[in-house]
Amino acid sequence: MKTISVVHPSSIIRKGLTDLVKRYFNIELNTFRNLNEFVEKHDNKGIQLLFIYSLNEEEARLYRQLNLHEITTICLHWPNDGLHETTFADYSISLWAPDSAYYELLKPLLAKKEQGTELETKTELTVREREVLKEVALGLSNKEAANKLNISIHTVISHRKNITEKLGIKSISGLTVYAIINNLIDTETIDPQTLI
Amino acid sequence: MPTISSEQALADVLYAHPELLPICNRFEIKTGLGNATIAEICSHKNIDTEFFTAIINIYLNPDIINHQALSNVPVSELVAYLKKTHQYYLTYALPLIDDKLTRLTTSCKTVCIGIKAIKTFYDKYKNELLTHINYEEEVVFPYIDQLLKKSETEKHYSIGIFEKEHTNIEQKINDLKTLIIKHLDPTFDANACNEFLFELTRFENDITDHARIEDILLIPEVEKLEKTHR
Repeated sequence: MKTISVVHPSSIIRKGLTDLVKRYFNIELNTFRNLNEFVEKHDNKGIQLLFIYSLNEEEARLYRQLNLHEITTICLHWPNDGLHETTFADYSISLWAPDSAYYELLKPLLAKKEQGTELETKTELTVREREVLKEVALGLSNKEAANKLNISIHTVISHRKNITEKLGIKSISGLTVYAIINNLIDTETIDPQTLI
Repeated sequence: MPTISSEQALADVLYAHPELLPICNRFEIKTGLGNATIAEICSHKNIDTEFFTAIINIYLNPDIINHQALSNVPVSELVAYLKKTHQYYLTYALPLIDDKLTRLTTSCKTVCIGIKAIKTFYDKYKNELLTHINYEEEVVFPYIDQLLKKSETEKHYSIGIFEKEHTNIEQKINDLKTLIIKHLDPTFDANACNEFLFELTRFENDITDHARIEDILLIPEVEKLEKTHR
């Protein structure tokens, strides 16, 4: 039985997300106003997906202590939120994204849980690989991506090799299409078709 | 893969390898062949038999990497063959793929951001390909014509420049197939998707062969011509 929780200070956002998930997947959401409330009240056993807002430093510290490895976290962010506020989560999605983007993001995550036994998907990228892929898709050079992510250019190149090997896609345009399909790009600030 | 000989009946070869039919068409050879051998057909139609047989064998045998089999490469026939191939792509193969892709995209009724991205990717690839074909028709082939006529050529052009332009366009088709087969959620009609993939693969095989013909036959022969020209 899948459980999804959302932790967000805005009541309207909690309601909107609850409505969307109910409409598309017929699943009830557990809602919490902030991380502290979540820590106090949640039942750890059931949760598989967690929507959370962009955390500040103090909240991020608290978050790390929770040890949420079994749970897939999705950060709901505003377009202007910085990278450091969103990278604690497995995925991130903009609050300005259309409903279809939420559907595309949730569908594979929920389907996987339904199968019970995890299907060995060799195409799963790590968080870091997804970050590098996003910058490549946005058109950044290896050097620019390295600067933006605060890692060395060798690390970027190494990640790109792994990405190509896992996905089987070599061209930058192809990788960009993959990034769009998997919601690594905010489609409301940039028209994805122009990136390809 | 055993080599096809010109003493074999072309009909038998085509029965076993129907993918060769468009290639035969480029030599104005169509069906209705009876039991005629390759040699007989070529003689009747004034086609260089050795050249035609080599083209077929190069297509069927990916191990062939040079033109040792051909004692003499008829450059003007080769260029004519390549031009016919371009016409085949422009007037038949690419429009067919366009059509299949349109049917595929319209069959998506729910969330279609993935298939739209695929369409944009394919359109971009197609434009690159058209530019490359145009370059061959407008620059490379006229240059070769001038070499053959031993007339004045563009002093700063050489076939080496073309060789560098000869980019690896086939990689994008490969990525396109990978994206659909591995990564895209199938929110569209399966049959429409299969038709698109079948035509794409057929085209991929043909254009890969086209690039090989240019690498194996065209470029070395033109380099020879350039040497005698200077």
